[in-house]
Amino acid sequence: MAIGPHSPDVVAALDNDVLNDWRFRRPATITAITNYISLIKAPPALTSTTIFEMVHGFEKAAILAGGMNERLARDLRYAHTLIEECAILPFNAEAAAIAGYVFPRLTQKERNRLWADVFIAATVVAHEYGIATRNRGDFELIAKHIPPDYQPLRIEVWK
Amino acid sequence: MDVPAFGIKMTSEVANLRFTGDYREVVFESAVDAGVVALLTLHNLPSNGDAEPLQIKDVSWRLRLADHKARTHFIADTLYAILGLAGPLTIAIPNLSLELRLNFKIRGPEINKFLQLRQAEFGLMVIGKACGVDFDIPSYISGDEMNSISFAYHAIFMRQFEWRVNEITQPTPATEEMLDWFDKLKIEPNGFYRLMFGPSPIVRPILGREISLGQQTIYIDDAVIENPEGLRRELAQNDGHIVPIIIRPRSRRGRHVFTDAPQLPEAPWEETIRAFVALEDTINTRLADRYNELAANTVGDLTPEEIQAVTSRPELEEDAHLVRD
Repeated sequence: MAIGPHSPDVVAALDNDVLNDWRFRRPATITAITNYISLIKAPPALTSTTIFEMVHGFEKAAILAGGMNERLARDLRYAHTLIEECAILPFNAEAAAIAGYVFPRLTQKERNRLWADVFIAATVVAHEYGIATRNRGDFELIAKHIPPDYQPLRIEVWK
Repeated sequence: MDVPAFGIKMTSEVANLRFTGDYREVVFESAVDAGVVALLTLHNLPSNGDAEPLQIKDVSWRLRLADHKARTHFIADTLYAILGLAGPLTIAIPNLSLELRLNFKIRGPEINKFLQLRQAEFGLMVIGKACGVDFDIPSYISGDEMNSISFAYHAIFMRQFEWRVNEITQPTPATEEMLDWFDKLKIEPNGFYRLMFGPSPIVRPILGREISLGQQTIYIDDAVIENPEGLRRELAQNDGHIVPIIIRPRSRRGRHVFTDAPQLPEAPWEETIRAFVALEDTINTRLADRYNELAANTVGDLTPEEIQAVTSRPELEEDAHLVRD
């Protein structure tokens, strides 16, 4: 049984889709996350953009429902607890510079569709993490434009 | 101590009992292992006599370590993590008819920290056992030090593994022979060079000790050689001066192979350590369950419409980005 320290190159952050699969207990995602936690002894990281997306979802739901009802408020509290318990990768100056390099190299359509993923990818590269996603294609597209002096984007498909 | 979630029942003598005059604080000391003493502290309402039962307000539990050996810390950090993951447990002192049903609340990141230290300490135990070294755990282990511990652990335990290689500088004399070698390097169909470095002896400093890991060979399948034309011109000077050849794997990774790294003995651990190692599966299950439940709670009892909104991504209008392609 290998219970010793892990390689530094196995840490990963969740993109929005995998985070949602985790929240809805999708079996394949639960298996992937359980394996990850067994290795790292911590949950996968979240990027600040992923947190923005998660909180945005609650606030949008509250606006559509005419206010923050009790269920939404309780689940949002759990979301904040989850945020406190995960490592958070901030969108820092390095991430911003990487995103700034990638963004103009995408077509307008790609920018409209993938802007949040660009921020997420730039953040994980800046922090030397990988990305756990369902959408290999989207992140491969972004990965093509990561500045050459950075390590390539490590993509793990969890679905 | 009975920890049902982990199937653990630990028994040890109360070696020492201390209390304040009014019994506000009562401390039981009990050795759980060589060098590890558990201190159970009862915080009580003041009491004035033997006939009056203790009215316990609060209970705390901690470990006192007699040394800073990796083994001692491994046991202590495992116990702390287990208490955080255990849920309800019982601590009993039968002679005093005392039975405490407890549920320690430890924050997730703290439990993770104990478990990550447990990993590093186990790594140090493996390295120490294989190399005949007894490591002392410092109060702080830097990221670089953690990386070295992990690398040496992999060399001993796995022998062959992928690891980060940011850059290799190969000092190469400008000779005809080396120019010939350079000219014969082939670019593979994937557009990169396939290169091998070594075998060469590797020594890693770990917590102030030089740890020899034997011969290391690194295989890189996606090497990029910086400024090949300039390097060729320099090598062609054939004057023996040293030309630094800088090689970068595109993936920043290489396969490391150790053929004669130090080895663990056949049966490296005594019964206590084997028992603590065997807790790994239960630790992993309890830790993962904790986080899986927390993630699921973020979407508990929502209506389909709320779920739709809560999981939607922020969208931009079609003309959100006016920069032309």
